[in-house]
Amino acid sequence: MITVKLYSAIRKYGGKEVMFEYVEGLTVRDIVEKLKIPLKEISIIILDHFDSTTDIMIDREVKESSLIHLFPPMAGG
Amino acid sequence: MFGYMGKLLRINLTENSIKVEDLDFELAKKYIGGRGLGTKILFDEIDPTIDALSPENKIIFINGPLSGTPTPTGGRYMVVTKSPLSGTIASSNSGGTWGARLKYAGYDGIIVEGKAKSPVYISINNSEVEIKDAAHIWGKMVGEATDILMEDKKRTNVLAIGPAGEKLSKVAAIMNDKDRAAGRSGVGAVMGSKNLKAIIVTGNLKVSLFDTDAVKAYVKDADKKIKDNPVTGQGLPAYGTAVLVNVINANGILPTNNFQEGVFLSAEDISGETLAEKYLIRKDPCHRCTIGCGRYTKTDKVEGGGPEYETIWAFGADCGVKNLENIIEANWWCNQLGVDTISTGATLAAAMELKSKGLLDHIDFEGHPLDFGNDDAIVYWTKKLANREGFGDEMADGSYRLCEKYGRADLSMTVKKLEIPAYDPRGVQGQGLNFATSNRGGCHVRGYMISPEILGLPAKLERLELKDKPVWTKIFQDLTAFIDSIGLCLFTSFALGAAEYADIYNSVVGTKWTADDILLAGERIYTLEKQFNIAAGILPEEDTLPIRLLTVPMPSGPTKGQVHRLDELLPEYYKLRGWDEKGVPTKAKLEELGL
Repeated sequence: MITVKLYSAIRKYGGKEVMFEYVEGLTVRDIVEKLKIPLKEISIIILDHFDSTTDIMIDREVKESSLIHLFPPMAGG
Repeated sequence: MFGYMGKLLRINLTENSIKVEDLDFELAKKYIGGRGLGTKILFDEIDPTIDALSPENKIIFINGPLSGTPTPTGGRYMVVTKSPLSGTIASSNSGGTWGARLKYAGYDGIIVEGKAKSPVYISINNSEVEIKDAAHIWGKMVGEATDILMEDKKRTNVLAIGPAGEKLSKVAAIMNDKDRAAGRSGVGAVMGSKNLKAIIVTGNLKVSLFDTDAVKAYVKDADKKIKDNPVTGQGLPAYGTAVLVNVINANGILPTNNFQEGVFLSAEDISGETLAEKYLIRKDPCHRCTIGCGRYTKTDKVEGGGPEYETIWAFGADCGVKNLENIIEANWWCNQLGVDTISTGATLAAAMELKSKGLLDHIDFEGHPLDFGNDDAIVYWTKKLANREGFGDEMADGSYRLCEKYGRADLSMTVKKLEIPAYDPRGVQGQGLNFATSNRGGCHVRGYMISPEILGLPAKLERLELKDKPVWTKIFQDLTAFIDSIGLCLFTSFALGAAEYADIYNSVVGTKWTADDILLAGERIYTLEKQFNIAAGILPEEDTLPIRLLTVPMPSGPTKGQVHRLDELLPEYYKLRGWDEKGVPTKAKLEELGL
């Protein structure tokens, strides 16, 4: 199973955590589309402990037991 | 020059004298105001080697030219002094309305000198300035002292220290408008050392602007950019700074149990989302702020301002505590007793590690053992620390002195004796470089590299890579020094860039600065602070990080196996700054900057 964790404003699309069945070739984009989250609302994607720009991360393939964190634009400090 | 009131108050508490001096506009043009001008005045007037808690130290409360103007977030002021905690330059920034009010009373800043024979407070009502007996408020907590001074006065704001500042705790803060803090570097102890309890200001003047129509237009544009930006227009107003808890944890850099781990398993319990859901009453914005990241919260026991992200981290993950209600209560006590939430929470965490290693077996913990995860202990020992009672007295001067006493200075997670907040440098190489080179010690907001390295703002940098980190860190540090000097909030920089700052600054002051001029002014201020530190005897080798972060790989999580690679970053950083290999500014650089 794939675990997707959602935070702050984008929890409206699925709560804190959503699980998905693994299918070969599944990408982060596929999951975001299934959750119906507009891409512009996602600013940070962390897949299995790795993050980079959303352009790079969005088309990464997931693994059978992947953990994905999706965050909207945020800041603090 | 516009934007300035043109007057500084000089108050000597030894002589009981009050003078009004003209602002030196040549100095103001070069060092701007706030952090820059305050540092210049302090450096010119004190010997940096003095004891920070002696009457020879001065404490400067100083605005920028944009404080008190209609510009977005234009209400911040700076407290500049020599830090009793770190021995470095201290410049602690605060919001609320007090700073703007000082401008409305007709003053750009106040220079306080000497030491009063007995407790006093300063009363400013436009041109009427008095030094008054503070016997009736000495010993009182910040909220009560503020209420007593305020009575039912209008157009008035109060700045005060709590019992911690009176008792010279080196982590004491200065509070204004009750729960806004010039928190870091122990500035509250400097006020306490002068027997100065509070400054109450009433004012109803206006700040003159160079081009009122242009200011209006730029402000309208900036307000729109802030509102339309998803960070400043949505994320910060909805969740406050604590929205960071989850993203920092998901990257494995949320320092846990005194930086022994980078993942806190109960992060969700202390997140901004949970805070908003369970305890948030309303937003609590500062003067002229359209962002409103400030929180006003309520539990069964307390009600008030905060907590911020760094506070939640310090009392939460760093102490292994997941009880948000107790974290809110610890924050409330910090505000009331007047201590820095970051240094206080981090000092409790250091004590917990000392205890876990068997070094505090002789201590009477009064039924509230300082163990990681003990949510009762964070409230109990915050009060004891701030009041210097029992073992609290040993913690009241911060984690470095505590750990050093027990022969384990290495367990103090500090840079230059100032506690590092909320981001483990092993997983954010640029932020680690910023911590190591921050002129006031372990501070996250001298050059907030979390922005590009974690949040992707204004562009994404790979957090574990070294490439481009020195140049970005330098630019962030220089831009921040400028923003801290004009009187705006650093958070505007999530929506505005150097060009926008130049436009707004020019329209208020009447200059014709470019983005490059802004960065040059920031670089001048940054280098001046470094010069102060060198003159104060801060050693080159103090531009470093705690040994744990440089040598012990992160044990688990998304940052597993990483250490901070400071020695690979520092030479390039110094070179970019025009400093020699020991971090000393070269003669050529000083001449270039007009220092």
